[in-house]
Amino acid sequence: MLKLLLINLIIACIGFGSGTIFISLIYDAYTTYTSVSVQTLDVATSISMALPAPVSPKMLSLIAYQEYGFWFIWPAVFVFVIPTIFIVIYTFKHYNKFKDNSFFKDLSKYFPPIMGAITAYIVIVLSINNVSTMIEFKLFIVPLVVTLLIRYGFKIKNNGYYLIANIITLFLLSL
Amino acid sequence: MSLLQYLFTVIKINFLVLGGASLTAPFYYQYYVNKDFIPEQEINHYLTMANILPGAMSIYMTAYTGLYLHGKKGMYFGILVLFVPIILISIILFEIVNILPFDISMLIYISLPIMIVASIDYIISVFKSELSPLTKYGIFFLSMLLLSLSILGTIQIILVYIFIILILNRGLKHA
Repeated sequence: MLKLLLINLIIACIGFGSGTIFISLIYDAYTTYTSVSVQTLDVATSISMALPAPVSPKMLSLIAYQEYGFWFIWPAVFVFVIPTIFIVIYTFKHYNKFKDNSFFKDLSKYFPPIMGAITAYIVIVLSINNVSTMIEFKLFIVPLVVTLLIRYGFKIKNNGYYLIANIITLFLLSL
Repeated sequence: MSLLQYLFTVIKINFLVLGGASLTAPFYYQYYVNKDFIPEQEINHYLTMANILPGAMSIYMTAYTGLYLHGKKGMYFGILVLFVPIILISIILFEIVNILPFDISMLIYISLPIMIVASIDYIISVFKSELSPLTKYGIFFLSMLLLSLSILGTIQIILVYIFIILILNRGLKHA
């Protein structure tokens, strides 16, 4: 139990960025250092990916829930959040000192294209991994066309509409 | 923006985006910058820090915006609103999936199209940055190439860029 908390703390201290980066870290750490099964991790990943952001606390809480029950969720998530809160308080306090630093300014300028590339790469890999047969292709392409149509055809930005439209489309496809 | 409005905005941003916190970036501009609650430069800095500091990006963004708008109270309430409901929803979904004869892998066909559309939006916003076209497209496609050839992982790519910027910075100062 303590090992799990320690792993969550280490993941919070070494991982960064979006949930998709954390998923690979969580898989590596849990399969190497704990007896948590891959099936438990797969279930946690599927549910975390299907529900809205943030991915990592959902995944960690689902693993904790499957392994030790409901009450263990909160310490598992708490140790994951605590380092971030300390860093936020510290950086916000000293924010004025480094916001005019030329290195930080350059970093802010060059970072968006790198994150854009990482996001695009992750989405492409996820799509390829999950669409290997023709049935999967149909299940994937029809909701995609519907989403693209709503977003760019009708110029609607709200993800809630895409979610509802995709649930309906998937339901119709499975009939 | 009142505390209640802020907490509702946290829910709107995080609960409507699937597939990772980097895809929430356009919503910070939509809800905070366009409505003049937080200046664009501040949000840019927060996004950079959220990406380069260890920890989940969504926690950083919620904590920084909460601290900026309502101090520590805003930060703590924001994080609670970010975590507690979504963890409870994922536990309920986990139990439902266990009871019903439902194939959990189907959930990915709902979330993938939304992730793709959100990524396109994010990448379009990345290409609107102030960098010269050669620099931003260069960084983007070089990162994509390194990732797709599996020469470097996401974390290494970010570190390599940080070092390049650091060296360029030092070089320019000496020059």
